[in-house]
Parts: sequence; structure tokens; C-alpha cells
Amino acid sequence: MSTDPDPDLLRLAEAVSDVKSVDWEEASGAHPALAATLEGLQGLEAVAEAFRSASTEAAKSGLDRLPVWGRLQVLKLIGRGAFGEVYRARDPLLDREVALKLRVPTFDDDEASNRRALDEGRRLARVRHPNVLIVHGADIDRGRVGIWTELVDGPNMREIVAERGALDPEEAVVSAVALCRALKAVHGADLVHGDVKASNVFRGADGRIVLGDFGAASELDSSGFLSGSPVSLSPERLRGAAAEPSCDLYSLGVLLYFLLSARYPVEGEDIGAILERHEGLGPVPLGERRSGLPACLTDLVDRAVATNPALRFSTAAEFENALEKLSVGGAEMRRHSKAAERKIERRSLGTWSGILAVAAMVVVAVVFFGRTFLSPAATQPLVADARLVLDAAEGPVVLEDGAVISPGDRLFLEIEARAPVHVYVANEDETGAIFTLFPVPGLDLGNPIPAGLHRLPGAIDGAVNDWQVTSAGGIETFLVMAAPGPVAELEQRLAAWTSASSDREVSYSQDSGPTLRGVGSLTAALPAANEGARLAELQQELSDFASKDGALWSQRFVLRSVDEP
Amino acid sequence: MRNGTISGAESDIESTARLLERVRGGDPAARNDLVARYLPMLRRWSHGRLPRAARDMADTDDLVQVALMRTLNKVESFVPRHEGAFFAYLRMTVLNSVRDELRRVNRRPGRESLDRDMTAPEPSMVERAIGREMLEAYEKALSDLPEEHKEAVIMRVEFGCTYREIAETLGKPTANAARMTVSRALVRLAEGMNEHRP
Repeated sequence: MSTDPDPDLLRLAEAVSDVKSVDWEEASGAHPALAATLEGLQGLEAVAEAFRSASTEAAKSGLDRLPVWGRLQVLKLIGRGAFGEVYRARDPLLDREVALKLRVPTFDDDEASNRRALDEGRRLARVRHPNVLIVHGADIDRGRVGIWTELVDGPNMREIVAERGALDPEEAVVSAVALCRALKAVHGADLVHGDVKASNVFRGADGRIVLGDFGAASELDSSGFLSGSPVSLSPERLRGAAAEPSCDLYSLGVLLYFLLSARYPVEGEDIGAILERHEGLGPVPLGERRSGLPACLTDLVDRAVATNPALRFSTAAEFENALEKLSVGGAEMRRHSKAAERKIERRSLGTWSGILAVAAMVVVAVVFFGRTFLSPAATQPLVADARLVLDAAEGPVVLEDGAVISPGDRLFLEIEARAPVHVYVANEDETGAIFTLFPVPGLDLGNPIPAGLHRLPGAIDGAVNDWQVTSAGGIETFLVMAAPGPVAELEQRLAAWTSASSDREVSYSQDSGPTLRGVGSLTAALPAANEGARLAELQQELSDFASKDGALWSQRFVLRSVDEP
Repeated sequence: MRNGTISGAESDIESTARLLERVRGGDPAARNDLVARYLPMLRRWSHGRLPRAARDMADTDDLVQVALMRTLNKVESFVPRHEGAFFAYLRMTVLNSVRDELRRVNRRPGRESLDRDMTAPEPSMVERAIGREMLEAYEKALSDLPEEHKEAVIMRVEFGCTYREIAETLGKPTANAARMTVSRALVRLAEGMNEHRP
């Protein structure tokens, strides 16, 4: 047997492997000495073909489908969010397709938390309204809580506005009336949606407006923390108030504003900028965004998005009544609304069916899921767990305070966030020099990190990275901080630290895969007594800051870095 | 991109290793992810490899799933040196436990009529397509190949894996390197098949 096969043989083998047709007669004519091997290759072509057709048949008969959950056959992952994954699934008992949202299990999952999630699902299932996504059921299977709902075929309002621009007033009002009715039902069941926005409202192929929650951006968790796009949230909510029905009404006002102008009443880069605008000039009047709208309509929308909650509608019914009475003669507006309703139906059959066909009938799964709906319960810490781990060759070792690390050791932080959080990790060495370990430019993971379990520093270009200890030097202190939003004060300091440490700038070691900058690369001659005093001070300062301005979670790890004996 | 392909491979191996680690820790999500990753391909593969009677049982696919679940339950006892080893282990144990399960089902009372069908040496789909001689020659020659070549051939020929997947599993730097490995393995296999043919 040749160790270095004939190049022609290799090419033919490659053709077999790549399912390209080969003229075997010609090949054996050209290489009579290789006839036997060529015959073998031809046989392999047949073997490969046999496996391929068996596999194709299996795929056709549905044998390659995904596993089951409960009685549902899980067909396809169609969405992933902070708190769960949404699958298209089939209910064989009722012979229908459903959307199945499986809650992402967390470390602190126990019977009680599963029970709570189930209870939420069951409460959702009690909301029966044509404009609210139908929840079929909630259950737990092999430790995973799931909720299954109807599947809505159709675009969401954000997609509709992106496609067509701002809507006609009549069409926008009809949608808003439907959503008022949806919210009446939701609030009537003692629930708060908490995430009313254009991408959570769908228009089914039949023109039905459905309030749902895709779950891809659950902005709230049970402790009321929020992240993501805050333009739809009321200012009091942004300041940390509990989610209440009035917050949903504000969000609905923002949605109506958006449908009419493709803009938001208060825009800003982050929560701080949005609140600043609320406290300063206030929302931009709708009439300034889009001229030619009837004054009664712009007045109504401006009222719905007023900064002062006392000026807004207090119930969904009040909001609905105001919409219905719109225009000079209320009857006329209603007539227009009816016309718009018919128009929507025609569009859904005409234009939209075309668009949907092009989009290969993207099935939109919409799920109300757990925490979004709950008014904030007892305050839970932002971070369920954070552990500094030594990535040792024989397996990970959790580092307790006082643990000893040595040059060459690779460390990572395992952090489990209950909600999307901004995480900051800093390291102080024996000399009191502080270095920013996270966030660092170039990492695949940045702030805010989604809820769930993460390994920091995370990956660079897809390769998992650790922090590496590059020298011995006494005490190494690590401070991990997490906040629901960006902490400007902290970010300024982190930036300063990073630049102050340019002599130890972020570096990558290629010997055992990429690593982040060294931890404790200075060998200090100080006695081992200086326990990260500056970080301890910072932690204290920030906790003062946190107590007056919302939640901030922090944890300190103190390790000893020594040369290996 | 720095070390693009190598990094990618590393990260994926890491992710399977990490999934296994989490499965050992009793994390049901990690189990589900592993099942979602391997079940469809194992099912398709079993479809070609199992005797017809087994294939025609309405719940053959469930047998594969049960077997996979069982394998994952025993995963504590398995520490893979690389992802390829885990895949090979999975394939072997799933196949064995599907066979065991079929035997067990056959022994159940009231299954006499089925029993005959099950134990009859009915050819698998692949065997029917290429004939017993060819399949035996292929399998014998395959078993003579070095481990890496064997894996490369099984992944490409039997599972229809992409070169990228093969590269990740075998720890090859690029998809092209994996393709080279497959081609070399196929040439050696072709030579070997010739020796094993009557």
C-alpha cells in the first residue's frame, strides 16, 4: 500500500466524496495498473450512494425530526430569547402545529421556581381574547418548563412599518383599539404585559391583531430589571418602578405614535438620555413628526405618552373610549375604522400574502412567557451565581477566597445572570494597580450580556478565552460588578485603568491558545498584606451609589498568586 | 481573522466538551442540546443500517432516542479525549442498545409472530442496495483503517457530514485538510476493499 497515493487516485477519491460523476472506464483506461483500486473506489461510490438514499428516505419520512417535549413533537427552533427558546412543534393529539417556548433552565432551578413559572403559564392560559395570543397549556417535562401557544402566521407591526412606512391614521387607530381590548383582558386577569411594542404585535393572515411576546427580548425579569430598547417603557418604569397596567398603556401610546410616524416620542441612546429628555423638553409632539394628522388624534397620542403619569389614560377602557370617539363626529371615525378594517383584510389577502410567500411563509411564533407578565415579585439579586474558576488540565476548579494560583494558570469567571446585565470585572494586584478584565474590546461577548450562564471573558473570533496569570506576586483581588444598565461612573474609571496600564496592555499568548492579558504580571516586592484596598474602596463607593440609584451587584475574590513550588 | 479556522474548531470542541460537562452536572438543557445535535443524524443513519423489520417498526426512531438518552445517562463514565471519540462512542452504544432493545422486544410474550420477522437475517436498506458482499468488504476494509481514517470515512460516507464538521471533530485546521484526510482514507479503503473481496 502506498503511503503517498497517486494524485489522480486522490482526485478520483475526492470526486467520490464530493458526489461528482466519474467516468470509470476512462479512468481505468488511463491507469491500467491501478485497476483494482479504481474498482474499489467505484464500489465506495455505490456504498456512499446507498447511505445517501437511505438517509434521504429517512428524512422524507420525518425520522430526523427533533426530540419530543411532553406530548409535543419538537419540529424546529424558530426563536431564542433571554429566558427561553421558541420551537415550532406539533401536537399529535389535536393534530395541529403550535409554538412551544421552553424555559432555559438556570442553576437555581428548583421545584419552587418551576412551580412559579408553571403558575404564570396557567394564569396566561386563562386570558381568552381574540386579540391576545392563545395559550394552550403549560407543563414541565424532564425538568424543563414549557408553554405552548397558537402559531400566528403573519408579520409583526415593526416589520409592517419597516415595509410600508407609517400607517394611515384609520389603520393605526383600528390596531390600537384592538390592543386596548387585548390589554383590558390581560389587566382583567391581574396580569401586566410589561413589553408592549411593535415587534410584539402581530397581524395574522386573517387580519387579526394579536398581542404576543416573541420572547426574544424579554426586557423584564421578576425583579423588575430591564435592558434592551427602553424607548417603549414609561419613564417611571425606567426609574425602577414596578410594572403596572399604566405602564402597558404608556407603551401602547408609544406603539400608536410609532405606527403613525415610524418614530418614538422620546428617543435616546440609552436609558439616561431618554430620562434626560423626559425631564427636560419631554416627548416630541406627534404633530412635529408627521404633519397633516387630525389634531384630535395627535392630542390623544401626546396624552398617552405624557411624561407625567397623571396626565395619561388610567385604564385600557378609557384609552379605548377615547380612540373610539376620535374625530369630529365619532361616528365618522368609526366608519373610517370599519373601512380600514376591511382594507386590512384585503391587504392581508393581497399584498401580504405575496410578501409572505416570498418570505417562505415565515411562521411567527408568539408566546407570552413567564416573567414578562408578572408584576415584580420579591427582589432577587441580578446575579444568581458568580464563580472564579481555574481552567486546569484535569478539569475546572472553583477558586475559593484565599486559593493559590500560579503563573501560567488560566482563569475564567462563570456568571449566571437572571436578567440581561452589564458586567464589569477588574483585577487589582499587590501594588494596587488595577486592570480592566471585562469588558475588553475584541471579545465576542460585550455588555449587556444576556440572561443565563456565561463564561467570561468569553470568546475571541469564536475561540474560548481565559485570563492567564503571567507572574507571581502576592495578593490578587478580583471585583465583579453587575448592574441592570450601564454604570457611567464605573465605565469612566475602567477606561482610565485600562489606559493607565498601557505597559501591560491586553496581550494574547499563542502557546496554548489565545489568552487575555496576564493577571499579576508585576512581581511586587511588597509584603503580602495589601488586600486589594482600592477595589474594596470602589466596591464600598459603588454600593453607596447603588443604594440611591438602583441595584448593583458585586462580589470580590481574593487569591494568592505564588510561584509553583 | 487570527487563526480563524483553528479558533473555530477549538470553540466547537470546547462546546461539546462543555455540554458534556454540563450533562454530567445534571443540566437538562445541555442534554437537550446534545440530543438535538446528534439525534437527527443518528436516526437517519440507523434507517440505513438497521434490519428492515426494525426499520418498519413504527417507533424505530423512538428506540434511537431512548438509546441516545440512555447513553447520555451513562456519560459520567466517559471522558472523551476529543470530540471524535465521543461521536464514535455515541454511535457504537446507540447501535448496540437499539439492537438490545430489539432483542428485548422480541422476547416479550405475545410477540412470537414478530419474533420470526425480527430475527430473520433481513438485509438493511444499504445492504439491499449494494449487496452483502460489497457491504462486508467495505466493513472489513474499514476496520483495518487507522482510527482517524475510519472516522473520516464514516462521517463522510455514512453520515454525510460536511468537511467543516469533520475538521471540527478530527481537530483538523481547515475544511480542506479534512477533505484531504477523507480522500486519502478513501484511497486506502479502496485498496483494502479489493483485498477483502472474494
